[in-house]
Amino acid sequence: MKNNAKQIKKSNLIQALIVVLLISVIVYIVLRTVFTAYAEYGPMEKILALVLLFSEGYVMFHSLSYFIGVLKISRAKNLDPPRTKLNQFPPVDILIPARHEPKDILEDTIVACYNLSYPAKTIHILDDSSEQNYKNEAAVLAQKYGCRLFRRQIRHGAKAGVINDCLKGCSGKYVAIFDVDQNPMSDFLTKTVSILEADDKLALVQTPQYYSNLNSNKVALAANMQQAIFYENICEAKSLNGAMMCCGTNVALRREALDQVGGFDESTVTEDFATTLQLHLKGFKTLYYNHVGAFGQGPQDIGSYLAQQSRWSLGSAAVLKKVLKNLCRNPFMLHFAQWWEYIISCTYYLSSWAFLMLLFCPIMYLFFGIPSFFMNPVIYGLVFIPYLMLSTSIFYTSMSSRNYRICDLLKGQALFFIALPVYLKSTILGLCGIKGSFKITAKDRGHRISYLKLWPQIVLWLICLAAIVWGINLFVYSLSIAAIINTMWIMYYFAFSTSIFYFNEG
Amino acid sequence: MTKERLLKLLGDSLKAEESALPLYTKHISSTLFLSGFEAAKQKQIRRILGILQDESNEHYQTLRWLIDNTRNEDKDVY
Repeated sequence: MKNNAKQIKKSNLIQALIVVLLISVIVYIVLRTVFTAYAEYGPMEKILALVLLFSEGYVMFHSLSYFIGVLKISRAKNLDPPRTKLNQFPPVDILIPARHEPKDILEDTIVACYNLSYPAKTIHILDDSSEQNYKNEAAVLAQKYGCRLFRRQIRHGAKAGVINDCLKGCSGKYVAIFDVDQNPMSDFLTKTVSILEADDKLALVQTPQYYSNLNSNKVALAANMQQAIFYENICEAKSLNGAMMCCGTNVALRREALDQVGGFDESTVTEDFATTLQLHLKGFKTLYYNHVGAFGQGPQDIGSYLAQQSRWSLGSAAVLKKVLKNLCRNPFMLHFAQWWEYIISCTYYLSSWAFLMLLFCPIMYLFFGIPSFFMNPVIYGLVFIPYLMLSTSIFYTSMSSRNYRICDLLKGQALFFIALPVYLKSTILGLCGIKGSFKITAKDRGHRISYLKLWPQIVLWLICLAAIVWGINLFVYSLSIAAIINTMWIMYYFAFSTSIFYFNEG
Repeated sequence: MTKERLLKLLGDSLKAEESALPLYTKHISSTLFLSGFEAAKQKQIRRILGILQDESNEHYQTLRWLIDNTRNEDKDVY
């Protein structure tokens, strides 16, 4: 009872802080716009100032969306989905797509699926390997655990393609998909199927994806923290807005819904996300069930992590075009909140461009004396510092209340910064309609990679270092407040970019 | 129950004992720090997981023995 009262008090405090935060952002953006519009500078400075203002606005827009989500969650009365008691067990096809996967990792997943406490299940190994030794290993495992081994003659559509091809021979009412490194707990199907059975219009139940190789691997731990930010507040908010997306693994889907949209979308590398859009447009619902129903393996090194992020960012940017096209054609097919969530998801990785500009502008000022931030320092302090403090404290409070440590979350943020060059490239490729190849995240590595391959990160790090030295020099000789503020911003980015050496230690 | 059926069921149980519990234990013990439980409780959970693992090993031996014996039996109906 006492704990409950404490919880309600904390929730009320967070709600009040978020409202103050929203106000502070609006005030800040309005004042920044006014100062920029009336600043008496040349066209070069004005253009740069507009770019900086837009970048700040972009990042704030995304962070506001996050905080509105947190607000919505804290106001929600019940996040537990309705369920039906299972008297009968509708058949479920469990699909494990695999291509050139290490045997022990594949076997763990098969064992976990084999031990699911759900009687009406058929396990399918979707072996898309082209190398004979992997084919042999998959065949041995299928024989050992009595699984159906599915192979195809012509490869198309990567993971989406092999799932679609396999589904042609499946007849279960539901489909569960697990990536080869995701091990479901024994109650996974019992729980998700009971939720699907409660609502005929529910197309899918997505559960979180958490890594368990955290103690032994720095990259996996930091990547897990990024996942945690997504799978806690963001997904819960998406689900409340009726816009939860399929994440491609640890998910149970209604077969009939999948059939109605023609299976998984094979035109993008994020087939799960694109397919969810089609499901929503068909009037189906989706739901996020925040119960850890499966544990998996996170990327083991920087190379694997960057390959994974490249695929996700490329796919998200590519889906943006589909979203905008459908929004223009059928604006009333989805609710405002659903469109909002789609836009936020598709444009998330584009924030890398905003971060690049937020880094570029202080560097331009320090090296070339080109100002891009026109605001009275006192007013800046009065309106920006409350935003900074509020957003930081609400973010860390909301995550620490879910048992995440601040130091681990910071590692996750540092890893995001390291991936900036990848996001910059992939988002452009995605927007240009270049599909890219479906690169599978390697599971058997964990090695240090050559810094030559990380040259964009190293160049960024060197530029930051030079700017800091030059900025301190400027401050010492001119005692310029602007020089020290700009230098401090670069120090912030420098600290994150230095983590490349920490994560690449092997 | 036929001998074949019994051997299949015993084999299924053996596979579960052999691989499932170590797998669950591995995942749970490495993510326990995210659970929010106090250190003492985490320690207790780890201890219980250890006990489960030991018992699972015993079950494994018993099942192995049962399978070997059933296979060598002449009986076909149980």
